[in-house]
Amino acid sequence: MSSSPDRRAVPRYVAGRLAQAAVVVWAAFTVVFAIQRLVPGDPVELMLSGRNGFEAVPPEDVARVRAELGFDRPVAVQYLDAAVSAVRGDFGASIQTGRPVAAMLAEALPATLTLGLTALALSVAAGTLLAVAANLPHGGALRALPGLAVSLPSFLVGLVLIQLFALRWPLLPSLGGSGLPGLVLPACTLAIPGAALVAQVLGRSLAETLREPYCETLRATGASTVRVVLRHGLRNAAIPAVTVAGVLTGGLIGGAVVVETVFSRQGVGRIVQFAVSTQDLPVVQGVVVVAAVGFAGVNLAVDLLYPVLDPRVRTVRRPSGALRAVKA
Amino acid sequence: MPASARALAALAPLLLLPACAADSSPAAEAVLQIALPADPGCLDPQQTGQLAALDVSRSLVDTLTDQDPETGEIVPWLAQEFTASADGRSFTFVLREGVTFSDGTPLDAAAVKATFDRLIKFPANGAPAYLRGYQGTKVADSRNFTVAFDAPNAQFLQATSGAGFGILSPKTAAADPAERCRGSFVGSGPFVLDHYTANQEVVLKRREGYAWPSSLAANDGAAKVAGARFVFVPEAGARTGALSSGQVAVAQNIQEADRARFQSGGFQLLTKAVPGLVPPLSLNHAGVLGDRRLREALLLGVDRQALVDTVLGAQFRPATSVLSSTTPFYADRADRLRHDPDRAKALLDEAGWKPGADGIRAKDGAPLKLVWLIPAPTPPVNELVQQQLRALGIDVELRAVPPAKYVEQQQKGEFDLTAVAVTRADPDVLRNIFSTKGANLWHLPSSELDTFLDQQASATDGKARQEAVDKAVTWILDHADTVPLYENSLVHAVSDKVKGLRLDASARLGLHDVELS
Repeated sequence: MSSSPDRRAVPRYVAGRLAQAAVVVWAAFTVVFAIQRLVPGDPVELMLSGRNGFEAVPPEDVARVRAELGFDRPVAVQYLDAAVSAVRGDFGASIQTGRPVAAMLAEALPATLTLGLTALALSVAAGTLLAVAANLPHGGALRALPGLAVSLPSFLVGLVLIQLFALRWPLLPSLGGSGLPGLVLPACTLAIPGAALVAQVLGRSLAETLREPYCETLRATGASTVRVVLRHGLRNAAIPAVTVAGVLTGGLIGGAVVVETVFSRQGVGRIVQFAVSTQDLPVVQGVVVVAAVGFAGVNLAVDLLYPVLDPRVRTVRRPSGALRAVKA
Repeated sequence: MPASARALAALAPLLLLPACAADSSPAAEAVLQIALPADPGCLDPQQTGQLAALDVSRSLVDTLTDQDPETGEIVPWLAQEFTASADGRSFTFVLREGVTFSDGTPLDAAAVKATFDRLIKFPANGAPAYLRGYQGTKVADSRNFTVAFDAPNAQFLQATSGAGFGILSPKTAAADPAERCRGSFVGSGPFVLDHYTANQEVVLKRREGYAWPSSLAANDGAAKVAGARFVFVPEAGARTGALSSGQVAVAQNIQEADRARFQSGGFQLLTKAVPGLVPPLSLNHAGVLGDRRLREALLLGVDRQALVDTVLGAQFRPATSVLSSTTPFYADRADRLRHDPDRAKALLDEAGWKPGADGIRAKDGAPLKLVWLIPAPTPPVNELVQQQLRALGIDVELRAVPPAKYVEQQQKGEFDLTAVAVTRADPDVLRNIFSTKGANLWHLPSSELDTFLDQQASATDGKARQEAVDKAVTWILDHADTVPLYENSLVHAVSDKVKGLRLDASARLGLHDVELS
């Protein structure tokens, strides 16, 4: 069943996807820039006033600090300046803390990446297990579980886990989360909605695959259900689940805001939450660009995974359009 | 010296090591763990007045004076003597000897001058505002100096007791403000910064050899704990959980519902009424509240006792003046803050606001609606005030907006009500808020009140200052220029293992005397 795909097709496909990713990142940057300039409120005034319990600040002080930060220049100049700097990886300095955004992100990213990747791995593993179990004989009862889990708010899950595993049975820390023990509860909290989503999509896809004629043929030849599910069904049903895993990665940033707050962890989620509430433009801009790059990267990886998982995808984009792959 | 003796001599330090370790009990090496509700974002006390920031920086810097939390009296610290000139415009200090910053440089008059010269250049709210009119610091010699102002400045001595006036090493006085926010400022305090991880923790360690505490301190020497770790725990449930499970020994800002469980069973509550201007309904005089009868109706229409009984809890008290009872020069004016709904309704009738069919009063077809601008989220007490005013026929809209929007709308005067309280153990907070020469967010007309406020600022003796403060408070209450609500309290829950944790006159944490068992 091996086909010999057009040798230029793969580089072209990758280049096209890369261009798309670049557009996504640029659009995210521009939209955030525009939104932050359109919403009411002056971040400089907020910084100066907020630090002292909303005490009024003399207007000349606000004007001076605005000028120091370059906010008195024309918007177009600010945009171009920010864009050129961003390409070089320089997002300027936080208005609230004065620290370079790149340094803030460099400090917070490892914690969030560790949390996010652990949660992603847990999501995929638990979701796959659940999907398979639900499609085995007597597994029907498990099908309601993902729907329930997906509807649980993360902050509630987090607080319940803290209550049980940090307070009632003090097995794990609920604060700060340095080291492996501190990672367990936050990662589980963040993984639950993702696992539910994977289980739902993969489970349904698996159920459909198992109704395909070839599966019935396999069973008719005497293969056990377990063998059909694991050897044949799972691979064929994986594509929608891989797509979902790509989307999940985007959701992890949002989830990190909640989980990092509940578990008092440092991370990008906390940074973004504080930056948005204080209109800290350079920080929001930096986080959005990094998130967009990460999101585009994961989706690129997912797109490149399709052809590996499913030979049919390799041929679809061929200019000839001919479907040459042969079904197993 | 024989070889064996030399070998012994070389080994001696090694032999001594275990002995040293045995000397210090485990408790002395313990680190005090404190859960704070928020990361202040900036630790530099000159740049931020945020309570969480000052709770940390209070242990890093020493100040010229200290303020007795009981009497409000200003007492020696780094300055062993201080005198105000007869005209109240200059202040002469004599520094104690032998004080050094943690970078090893001596704390002398030049360092004080460098600290103040830098402080005045920061935007003029918070601590820098207390230095308004600063003409300079004249250094006589390494221990004697004089600070001069262009006008009498009665509040200055109290200001020198606050963390915002902590004396900094000249090198860091000149450092980049952003770096100072990250904690790279060097003081002479009983603790030094170990590290600050944004959104997670600040860790302090004991300064060895510290020997110049405030004249109020019980401990003459270095701090008794090895260090302190402040963890930022924004979720109230996680904060109390961390305390009850022993992960922290102190948790700040305990919610009313959780207080009972920390009053016994290995814990106690450390409570202090916050000095300064009590949380009020701040009234915008530019709108419909320009009518004094309306403002008076609000003053009489709020049931302060009910706020405490239903929402705030026993650690809070109804306001008895514009100033909280822990502020120096406070006088009880509870007679002016009684709850009299009938009189309030009569005043509204008199002002021409008649009850409509839905219970909301109206005049010339326009309903009596007040916008209460709130930096989100809305505290529950606001909803109770809203209900109380609804009962008088006033429709209050609680408009909770993001902080950025709050500041903008507050500055533009797009509100009828808001709440601005000021924490400071000095009656000069009245001038900050009510003087029409300042920001005047309330659009007050200039009046005799300005004169009283200037008089309290320039009074050179306590009696004259008390008189001026009383006159100002009377004027404010007579004209119903604000509606004081309740005395704010800070409530910390503390494990019984912690001894000697103090709150200073400004209700900031003092860790110098703390012992852990």
